[in-house]
Amino acid sequence: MFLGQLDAADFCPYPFLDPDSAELLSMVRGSFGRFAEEHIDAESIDRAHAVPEAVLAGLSELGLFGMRIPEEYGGLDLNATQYCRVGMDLSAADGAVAILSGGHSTIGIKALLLAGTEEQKAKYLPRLATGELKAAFALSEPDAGSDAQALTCTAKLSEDKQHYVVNGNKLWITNGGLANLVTLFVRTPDHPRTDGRPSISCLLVEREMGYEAGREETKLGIRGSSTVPLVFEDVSVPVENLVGVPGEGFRLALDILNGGRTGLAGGCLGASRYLLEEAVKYTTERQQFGRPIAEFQLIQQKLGRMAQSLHALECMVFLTTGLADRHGVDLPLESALCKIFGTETLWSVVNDAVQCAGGNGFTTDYPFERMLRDARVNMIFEGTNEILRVMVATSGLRGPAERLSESIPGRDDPYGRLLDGAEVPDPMKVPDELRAESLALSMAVAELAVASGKAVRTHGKALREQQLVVAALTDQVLATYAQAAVLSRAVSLHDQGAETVGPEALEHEILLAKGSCRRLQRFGRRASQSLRDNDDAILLKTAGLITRLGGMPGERP
Amino acid sequence: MNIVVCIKRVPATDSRIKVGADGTSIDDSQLEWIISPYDEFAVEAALQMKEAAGEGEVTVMTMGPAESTKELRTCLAMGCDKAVLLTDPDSGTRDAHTTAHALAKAIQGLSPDLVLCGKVAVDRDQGQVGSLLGGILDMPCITEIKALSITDGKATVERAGDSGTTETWTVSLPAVLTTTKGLNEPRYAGLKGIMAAKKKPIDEQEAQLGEAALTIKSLELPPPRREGRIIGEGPEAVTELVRLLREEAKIL
Ligand SMILES: Cc1cc2nc3c(=O)[nH]c(=O)nc-3n(C[C@H](O)[C@H](O)[C@H](O)COP(=O)(O)OP(=O)(O)OC[C@H]3O[C@@H](n4cnc5c(N)ncnc54)[C@H](O)[C@@H]3O)c2cc1C
Repeated sequence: MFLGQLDAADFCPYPFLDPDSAELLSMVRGSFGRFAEEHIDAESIDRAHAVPEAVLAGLSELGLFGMRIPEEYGGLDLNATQYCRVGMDLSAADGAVAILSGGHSTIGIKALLLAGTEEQKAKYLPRLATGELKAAFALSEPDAGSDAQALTCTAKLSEDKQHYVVNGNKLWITNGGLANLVTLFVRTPDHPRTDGRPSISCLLVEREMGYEAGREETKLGIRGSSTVPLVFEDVSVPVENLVGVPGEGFRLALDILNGGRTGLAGGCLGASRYLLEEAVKYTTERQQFGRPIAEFQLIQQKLGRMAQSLHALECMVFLTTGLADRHGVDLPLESALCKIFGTETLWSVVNDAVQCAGGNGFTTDYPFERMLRDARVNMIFEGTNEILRVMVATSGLRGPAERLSESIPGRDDPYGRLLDGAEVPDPMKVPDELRAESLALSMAVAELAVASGKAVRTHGKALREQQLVVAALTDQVLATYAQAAVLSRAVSLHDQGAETVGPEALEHEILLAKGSCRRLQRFGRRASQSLRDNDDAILLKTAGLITRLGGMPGERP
Repeated sequence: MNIVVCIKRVPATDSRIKVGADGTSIDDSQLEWIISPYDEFAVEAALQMKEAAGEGEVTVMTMGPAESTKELRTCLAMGCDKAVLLTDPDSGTRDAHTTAHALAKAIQGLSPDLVLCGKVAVDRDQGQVGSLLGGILDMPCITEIKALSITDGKATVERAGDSGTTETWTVSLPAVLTTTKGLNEPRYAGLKGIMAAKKKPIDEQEAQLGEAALTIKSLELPPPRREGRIIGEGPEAVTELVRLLREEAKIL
């Protein structure tokens, strides 16, 4: 899309779940759903700052910890779409349980799945599937957050070369307090790299090997989820517990995080859906001025925009997981877009829901305030949204930027054509009702290409430092990808026909597709406009001043 | 102990029901489907009886559209040994008589010691199939049981009698029993069960339908309930209430 291409064949027909996968999913959801209804009490989990043992035991039995583990190791072997759909339910039931699950399945066990040897998998996966072993993922450190590569926790080979001796600290480790198997990223100076980058490797460390889990953090939200520092003091780990290629561990860490972000986005979708339902219930029951407040336009505005954002998010998340399942690959950039859009959609949905509920939105008698607290962290972990915004546009434009810097201006220039003639890609074939939206998408793609070309030409390899430009390009590509997802689903349902889908369902789909496309168009246009017409220079200068002064200049009451 | 459990795929209980374009069936395009909750008690009871006997086989059976494999698979995941799907694309429109005949035909071939079903499917709420099965199969039938034990080829069951009494019955097997709430806590389909269920057989055969005893002329949704009204407070309101009940609601 950065190059102005829009090929419907890439994302049409929409990759709906096949009947067999749907059957398995329905069984798993059926069990989890009933269990959640009967045993998961989000309010008391929040108050107790822990998920009760009995709930964990029950969920283990149902297969919570085996969702992503292949069948031959005793897992449910859910694909990305099925996993994401179950994650929606978990997040609707309780944010802390969802994060606990994600800490294990999305990131905790992923190194083993991606890079483990047969022996390593056979040793650990069956026990991870039953929940006898619970996993955590330990990358962050006090001085290595967004810049994870700066980690200093170190593993040195013992004299007999049979063990690594690990020393250092990890911080904010999800599941750290209850996990008994940690996927740990450490420096390994014994395996130097030829390219001069730090040598980082991945180790599987069992609890018995002797690390200490520190005190639970006191948190704003997801209080039932365990978040602790881990302390390693001369912890001895057998060499056979190194996963993947020695010295290549940082790549592995990025692959794990890149592949997992649709899971978090699915969680945000589930929580948003639940919040919307609660908001509808509340606003139709609550009467003021002799009417249900849902009859007032400023409430309807909120309900409507929640639904439109949610619809776009749903189409986008399941397009991404569906394509990932269809082609058996991870889609890092698309998944990052899902994470950004999912976490920010949830944040605005929960904000709207709190507002709809008035005073009851702010007190603990209703789920709104807890869900607001729980929602906040999503924009911070698994890659902050800032880092991801920079990542998407810079990775998406790396190829073109390199080509451009090598090419002779005017020739061999992937953007020249677009910059000069602003060629618009063929619009997707859509039902008549969505023709305007389809045209708008083509225009948006062309506009994105023009903006990308301009950015690359102006800033070249230094584009990465121009974060406002890069973020605006990411927002533009987010908007276009989401519109493509929405239209793909609408077209595919339309093609199945009213017979199969139901005439009313089709009507609803078109209305939501139209509304969310328009919302996304506006979002994309704002981003693109901000590149042409902005006060960035003044803004950045102001930030500079304030940092220099350590706050506002003198006060004048 | 050879047990057959009959289940039905019904719209989820929180579904919004709409009448289809033909005016005689339900528009099922938007519905989510579940196992009728009373049938889950029957499945659980069958599994418990088999476990108590230490041997035997539980067959779960339904008449329904091809998609019913989903509900059958869930029962297999709970622990049933095999499943029979009597396919009938129009099962949504069949009356209890037609259904009971089809089920009975298939059950006869299995010569079970016990046939269990829920007391009523929560879609049509008619509660006839169990009793009809007893009649057709020529087996004793007790409905709405809330306790069950089996010894020496006899089943002892409890059911709620009139005015809060509890009736206890003993019947010789084979028998047909229909189950209700309170009998047990249906288990969840867990990881092991779901994986095992993938390999269990579902025998699909065309339903041998019986003759219909009922035809649906038309279906209508009940009129929306009118909003409540507060007439007044205390004894003063009584006269007005009685007047309204008599003249407006016409129930006095
Ligand atoms: C509840 C919770 C659970 C967690 N679980 C885990 C876990 O299981 N495993 C694990 O390894 N880690 C975990 N983390 C750590 C998490 O991944 C980090 O908090 C996150 O990566 C951000 O790092 P930081 O907190 O050091 O923030 P910093 O990196 O200091 O960032 C602070 C702010 O600066 C911004 N920023 C930083 N660098 C840039 C840049 N180059 N350009 C623009 N903006 C920038 C960030 O976006 C952010 O807004 C968890 C954190 C929390 C809060």
